[in-house]
Amino acid sequence: MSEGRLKNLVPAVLTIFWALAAKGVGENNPPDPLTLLQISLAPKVAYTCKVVVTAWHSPKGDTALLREWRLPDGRYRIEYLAPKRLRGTVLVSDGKRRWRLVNGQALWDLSFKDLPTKRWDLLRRNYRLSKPRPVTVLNRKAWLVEVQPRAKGKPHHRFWLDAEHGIVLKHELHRSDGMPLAFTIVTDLHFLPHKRIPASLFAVPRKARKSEVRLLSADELQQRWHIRLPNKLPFGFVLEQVEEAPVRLRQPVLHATYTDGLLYLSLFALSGDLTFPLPFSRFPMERWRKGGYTFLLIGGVDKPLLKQIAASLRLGDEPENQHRKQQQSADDEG
Amino acid sequence: MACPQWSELLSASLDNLLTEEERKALEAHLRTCLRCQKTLREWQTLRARLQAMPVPEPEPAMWQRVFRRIRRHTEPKRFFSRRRVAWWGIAAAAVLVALALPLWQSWLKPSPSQPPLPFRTLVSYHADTMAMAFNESPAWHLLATAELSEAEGNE
Repeated sequence: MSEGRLKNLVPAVLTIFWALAAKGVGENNPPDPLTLLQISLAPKVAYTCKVVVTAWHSPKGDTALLREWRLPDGRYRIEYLAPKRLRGTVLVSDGKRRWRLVNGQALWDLSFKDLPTKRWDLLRRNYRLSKPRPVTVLNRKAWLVEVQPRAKGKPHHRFWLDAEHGIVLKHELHRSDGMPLAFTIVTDLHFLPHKRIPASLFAVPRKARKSEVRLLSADELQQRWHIRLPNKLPFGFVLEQVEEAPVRLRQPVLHATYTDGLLYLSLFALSGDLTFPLPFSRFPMERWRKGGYTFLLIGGVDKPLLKQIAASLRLGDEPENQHRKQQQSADDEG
Repeated sequence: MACPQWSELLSASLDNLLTEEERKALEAHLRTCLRCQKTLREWQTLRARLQAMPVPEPEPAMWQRVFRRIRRHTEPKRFFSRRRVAWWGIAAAAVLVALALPLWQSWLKPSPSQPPLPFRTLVSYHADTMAMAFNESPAWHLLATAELSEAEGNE
């Protein structure tokens, strides 16, 4: 090979080398996982899809088939197609509020502005986000993001996020010991022009009233309910907000929300000593009594972790629990 | 086969129903008619065989049925028949059960001083909040929906 020909080849070889290197760098530098999660909360595209979801939060498994219509302005409609007992449940949002309708009757509505804010800083602090891995779901390019809790007893998430629009194409939720809790997968995904989706789908029944959520400051909480709540709980949970919940019960319900950036814990307080046995539920619950109130702590964490959190709320041991403990120790001695 | 004009007297002679005059006339005929003699012998044999056969006794229940039918047709009808009383009793018991069931259920429920805490409603409210915070994560709102559907039945 002559020297001149070799000189001509060098730029071509360098170009190829540079292109391969750039591709390698591109693959080694996927998007920030937190940015992907943020985008997934508000995809900027109109689409309709079906979703299959299976949950094993308890011995009672639940499986459902849903149909969703979503618009980029935040409006959406979600209908339960199956099972038969859940048919008739519809979730409708006009972009500002969301109504839960059961057979055309509005059960309650929640306002997005009244929701606890997303605390991305807490999410980063309490969870490890994996580097997104390129995968293919529904013949679409997607990123797999794993969200591992730093504390034991919280669930582990795996999100398959559409690379183009950020739609959650698949989601898996596992307990800390690896047991599956819920799997969700999107099927029949269709992107539609905005105008092809009729606005009537997102219409809210006229009779549906707007719930009056009263957010309470610490002072108001003390004045109205005579309750003080800690701002921080163990395992990275922080008090996010306190409201008088719009749940239509015979009495007002206090609802405090704690978050670790991804999960929420709900602390409910109702007046009266309500000593009924707790029913079977898909969520672990802790209950205690204090100062004329019955408190109920609900959260999507493991039971032992919830027990520790409930203990740390330092809302005291009530005679009922003391009696039970005494009885238990007497039984142990016996 | 006997002579047609003598067959009736032949039959009556077997039952000893002839007058003296008829009996003498028949005997005179029999002396000369072989056909009638043969027929008379056959009938006598047949009667002897029939008399030798055992007579079946009717079962006792038959008499009860017969007497019951006779009573039904002869006695005047009563409003409070045994069967009618039994049906009315069953109907009354059913009505009583239907009326007492709601009372029983309300008695089983806790007293108004201790209203049932709608735990499931609170659980579903919590799950709904979670779902909304995650752009309607199906896993959470399925939990909320399932809890609510059970709350309707239980609380």
